[in-house]
Amino acid sequence: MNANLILAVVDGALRVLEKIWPEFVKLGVQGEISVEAQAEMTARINRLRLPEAFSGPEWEVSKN
Amino acid sequence: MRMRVRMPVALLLAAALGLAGCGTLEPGGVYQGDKVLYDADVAIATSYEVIHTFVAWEYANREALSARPEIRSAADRMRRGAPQWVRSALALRDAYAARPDVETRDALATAVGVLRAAMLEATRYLQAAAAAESK
Repeated sequence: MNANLILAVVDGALRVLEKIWPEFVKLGVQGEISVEAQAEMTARINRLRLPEAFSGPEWEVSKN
Repeated sequence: MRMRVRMPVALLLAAALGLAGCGTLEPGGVYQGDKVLYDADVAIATSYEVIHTFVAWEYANREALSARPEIRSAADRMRRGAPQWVRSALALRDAYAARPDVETRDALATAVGVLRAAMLEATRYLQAAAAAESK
């Protein structure tokens, strides 16, 4: 792998990291996951128990 | 032809890399410090969201994606399987929450693994679409 290619790969990786970092922080990658964030996660799980989670036309198997 | 992928690519990458939920739990929360349970919930919820995004995207862009029948096939497989995969993961999650031991933890991990595999497949298609869109 030549130097330019390595630099391009590193640059690409940094750009990806730069984009995804706020999402990581939001998801609790850094530090403590707050009591509120824990409650929100439980609420998300409980929403998956509802029939609405799999309703809607996007969940219908396509015809042929 | 525009095939917008609504979920941020960043979130897809985060989900695919499995990096979500690496922090510690603040005391006093509903998980009572059980990081295994919290991580399982993150994995289940994130997998559902990515799979949902994928099937909704395929549905909204079916005509434009007709040249890629494997995408429709994958989406249909997820439509058939995802409700059961999620139900199963939730049942095993509840079993682990009620009795956290090695047996229930391993069963939960297996169920989460099924969801994670589907999520990774969905992520591959969505990332490819997002990359094509950004060109």
